[in-house]
Amino acid sequence: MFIDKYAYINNLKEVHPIEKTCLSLLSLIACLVFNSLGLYIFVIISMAFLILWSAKIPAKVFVKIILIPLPFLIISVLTIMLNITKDPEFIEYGFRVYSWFFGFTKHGIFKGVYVFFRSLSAVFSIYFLSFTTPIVDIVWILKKAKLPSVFIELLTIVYRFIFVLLEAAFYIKTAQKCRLGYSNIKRSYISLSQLVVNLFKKAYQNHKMLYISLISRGYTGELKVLEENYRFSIKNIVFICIYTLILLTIVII
Amino acid sequence: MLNNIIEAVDLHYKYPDNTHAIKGLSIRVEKGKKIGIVGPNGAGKTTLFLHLNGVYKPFSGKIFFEGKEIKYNKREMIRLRSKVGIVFQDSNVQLFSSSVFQEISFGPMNLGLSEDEVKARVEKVIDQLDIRNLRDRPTHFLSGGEKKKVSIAAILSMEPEVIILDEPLANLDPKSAKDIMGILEGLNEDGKTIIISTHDVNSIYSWADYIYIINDGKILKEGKPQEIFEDTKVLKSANLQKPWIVDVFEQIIKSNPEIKEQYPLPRSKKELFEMLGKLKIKV
Repeated sequence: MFIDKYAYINNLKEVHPIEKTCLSLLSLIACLVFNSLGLYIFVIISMAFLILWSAKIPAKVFVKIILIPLPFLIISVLTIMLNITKDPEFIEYGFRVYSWFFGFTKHGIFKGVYVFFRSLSAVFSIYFLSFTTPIVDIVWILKKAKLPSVFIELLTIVYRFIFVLLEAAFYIKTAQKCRLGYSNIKRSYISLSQLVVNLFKKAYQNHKMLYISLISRGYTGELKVLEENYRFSIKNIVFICIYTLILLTIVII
Repeated sequence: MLNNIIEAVDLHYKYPDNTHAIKGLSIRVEKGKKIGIVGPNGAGKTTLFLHLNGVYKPFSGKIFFEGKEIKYNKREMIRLRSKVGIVFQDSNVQLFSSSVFQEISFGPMNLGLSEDEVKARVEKVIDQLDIRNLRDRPTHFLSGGEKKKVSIAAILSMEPEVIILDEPLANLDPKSAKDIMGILEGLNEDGKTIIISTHDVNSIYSWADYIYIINDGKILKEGKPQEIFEDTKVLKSANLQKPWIVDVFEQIIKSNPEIKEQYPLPRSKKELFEMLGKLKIKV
């Protein structure tokens, strides 16, 4: 929930959402399409700079969020690099346990490093968007992209009710804890199951009341709301163009 | 009769599970008045409110708005719901958007107004309720009192004639509760008719022009606050307490019966203190 909070208070909040999405998607696509280690490293550094310096996200928070995908990344990269075989031909650097050989090949290490940096640069590109752009703005972009309104309304309501249900879950859990609901493993399982059941009931009740409250305000099947006006900034557009050029130059070189 | 903005006559309503929620209930609401609906949980207050803006259709009985019986067709419903706004008890179920600005714009957008008109209305309501500081904050970071204000703003932007608030003071801290009562007072001065339901007998006693006591889907008693809260028997059967002002006054006249002839039952703390001042009791 960190990211969500900073999306509303960061320094780039006022920037036009299309500009932010463009920058993020351009670097994401570049990282996925091109095979260039220099490009990945450039994207990682520049995105980190944008997030920490331009958007003014505290370094501590940023590091915490980066640590989430890192274990997955490291495990998957290791599985790509590590070879376990009976045939020593497949191993260039490694060791032997009885008749099995564990080790790496030059090619494998190369591939692993590429995958690692490619994934990390893609993650950084997406983090830039999620750190600087609130969901409301992302919904706005999806609307401009002419996505079906059912999908967009679902996103709006699901996002809103994540927080409502989270709050409800938190209260139920506290109330259970106060009566020793999580004192041992068996009690914990029972309490957790009751929490889930209650949450479902609450979700159902909330849905009924939400519908009534929407009807009361003239809802006829479409969530119509007023959109905010954003202003394009020439400075930002020039920046995005230069950034794209730099990406392409790195790829060509 | 002409002054009644909303009138419900002999309503009956059963829920699909056959709970008889409303059993022959009638109310008349005069334009520009402050109405209190008091009763225990499950008395049928919310069900009654949802009848007044046409969300529920009564099993039998009639509802009149501005003297005309309401019809349950689409166009009439949209008109009625824009004139009769309900602020629900739980703000969390009412606020569907994560943006305060968009939430407030939802009602007027449904009225088919132009975008400029909607924007003007939203900004006006934001100033009226003094919530400019909340405008760009996401709904889920607001406190209970702030959410309540946004809920009220979301209704006001439709510019209703009647504003119904279901338990507006539930779960609010004293400061927020005072703010909300102040907002309601201001709306009433602008000529809006306000109906609120509550358990808070002290607030409603000082605030309302007219009170209905509801229990088990029926009206137990209706009248001016002074008449209602002197009736110990009715209060007891609805499990309600007397407002402290009434308690104090009755305690005073128990030993000084002559005061009852000279002074009416005070409505507010201020009136009570004035009376004590005139009686030369130091306060």
